[in-house]
Amino acid sequence: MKKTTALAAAVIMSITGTSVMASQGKVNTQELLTKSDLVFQGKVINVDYKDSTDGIPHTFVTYSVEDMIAGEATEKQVTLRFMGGQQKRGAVIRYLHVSDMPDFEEGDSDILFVRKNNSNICPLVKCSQGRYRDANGIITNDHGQPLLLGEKNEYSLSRELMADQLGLEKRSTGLGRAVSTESGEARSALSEKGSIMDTAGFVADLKQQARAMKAKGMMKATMFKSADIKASFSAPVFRAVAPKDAAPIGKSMPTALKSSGSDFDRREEQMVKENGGDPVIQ
Amino acid sequence: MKRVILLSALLLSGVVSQVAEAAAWRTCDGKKIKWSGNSATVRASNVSFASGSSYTSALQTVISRVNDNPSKFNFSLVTGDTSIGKNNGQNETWFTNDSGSLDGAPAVAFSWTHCYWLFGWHYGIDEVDVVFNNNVSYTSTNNKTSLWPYGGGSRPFRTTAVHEFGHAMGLLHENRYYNIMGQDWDHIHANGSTARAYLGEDAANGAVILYGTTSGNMEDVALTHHKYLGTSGEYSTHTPTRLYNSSGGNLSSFFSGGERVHRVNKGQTVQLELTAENNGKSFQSPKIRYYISTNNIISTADQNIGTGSLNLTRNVPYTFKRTLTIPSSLNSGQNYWIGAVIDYDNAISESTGSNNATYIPIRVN
Repeated sequence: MKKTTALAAAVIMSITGTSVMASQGKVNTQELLTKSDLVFQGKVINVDYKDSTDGIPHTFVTYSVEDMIAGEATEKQVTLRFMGGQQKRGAVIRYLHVSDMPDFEEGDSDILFVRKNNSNICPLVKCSQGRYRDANGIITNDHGQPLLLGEKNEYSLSRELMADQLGLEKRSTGLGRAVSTESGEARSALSEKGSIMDTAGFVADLKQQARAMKAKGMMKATMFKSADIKASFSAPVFRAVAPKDAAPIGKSMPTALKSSGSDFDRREEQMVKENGGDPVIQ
Repeated sequence: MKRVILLSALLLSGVVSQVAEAAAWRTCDGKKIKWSGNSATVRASNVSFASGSSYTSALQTVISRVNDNPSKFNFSLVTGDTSIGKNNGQNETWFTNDSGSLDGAPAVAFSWTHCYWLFGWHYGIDEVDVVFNNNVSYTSTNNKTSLWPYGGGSRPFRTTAVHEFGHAMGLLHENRYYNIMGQDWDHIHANGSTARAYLGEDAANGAVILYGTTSGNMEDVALTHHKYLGTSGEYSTHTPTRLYNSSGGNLSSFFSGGERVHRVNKGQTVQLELTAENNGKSFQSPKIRYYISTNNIISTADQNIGTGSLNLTRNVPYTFKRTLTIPSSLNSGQNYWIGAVIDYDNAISESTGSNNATYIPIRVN
């Protein structure tokens, strides 16, 4: 299946005569599928906000399900609840942003790996990593970096941010994202190449993987429950506790590589220490 | 077919027009969302950061490292907060056991902002709370052998905290360069047996873009033995830099003490790879000396094997290679450390020199 879908991407690449630089971070679709309660392709049809009983804004994102990839949902529409969102008090609009939480907008077309809806502050596997976006037939991550298929049929993400080019940055006031236009001398030694993955091919591959994993008993049999904006709910309290210092744990500490242990080494160590760590010894 | 061609053209333009973009932040009507002033106070929970505890000390160091940037902005830290809570008008930090809701996230920054039009645009950060997941195997120590990036069993609290207070400053995740707003635990400096968490060039540049350049003196150049590896969701991932043979190929190696040790021959030509950063206010052309050491501390007292210089504009980190020759005088079968000292002549008046040297372990065949 992957080879078939790669063909479409190859057509794209043959037209431009180029390929896109991949980062070396691999995308583990098997892990995403294993950890999901529900995986589907859908379109955002509504984004709404509601405060928890203790006044914390949450975002309710409703999708029209277009293609069920894995898991079970009884309705054709599913609503996900995310901590964070908009809070209006008259003309004053405040936002709670939770780090790593995606922003959603009506009309977004996504593939979602859903996990623990109604209980997690972010009901996606690894939060933003559980959202892929359909950008006019090209599959990208939440940031707008295209998903690439490598020579060994492995997925990775392009290092190139193409949100603007793919029309993904159409955020309204207050939820935008910007990057610097500072130019400089970043020089990457990365040379790995990949072909851009198309959305239909990605969905087909996920379905095939999910079927194979289900046959091996690797998929969870969890019934997904949609969020209900009419119901009252509370936000996690996050009570303060004392930290558990995990170190030092003798057995997990590697033995340092042996140095010469000479008098010179000891003197050097002492001098650098007395110099506040500065290696320039006068 | 037309659609495919259009997409292709867009993608190609995206590749070609790529510039060295840096940090990211939120906007309101195109304006940067940031603190209205140039300082903010962070209050640490008296339960999580008890007086005299190692975590309180580590947090104080973290705030100092975040403040070690060339922007006008800085945090101040108050300890002993007895009433932490969300949306209470105070910036607070604490540990929690509520790992179920966090679902494995090591820490979360909750940022309250405003953005609305009422006879003009109103925008800015109101409050940021940083919550650490107590079920993550954190350590407050900076002892290298305890830390994940050096083969240890614990996540460095200090790097995660620097990342979260980067959010508190107004920065978002960044996954295209070696930077603290990507994966934090392998964005770290070491020279000797301890490791040092730090803000780094990309986030320092982001701080300047948000808040402008400080009027005071703040210059800092650095060398680290980590570099950009790739992307994991919104996060960049990083990896140790390497030593290569003269044609850029990998040398044979093994792991010891949690670090890769490269095998080299006496007299062999090698390429040393390191990452240089300009974390300070101004463009710098620092001189560099390369050294062989008999321990994992690189200093100007070690055996000099080469010199060089770099031109460093503050934007994104610069990973480079330098061709060097392994001295024939070294002993076979002995461990050494090859490395460099940047600004070895102290030409730059720096905020710290403790990040000016780093190493890569080698063993002589």
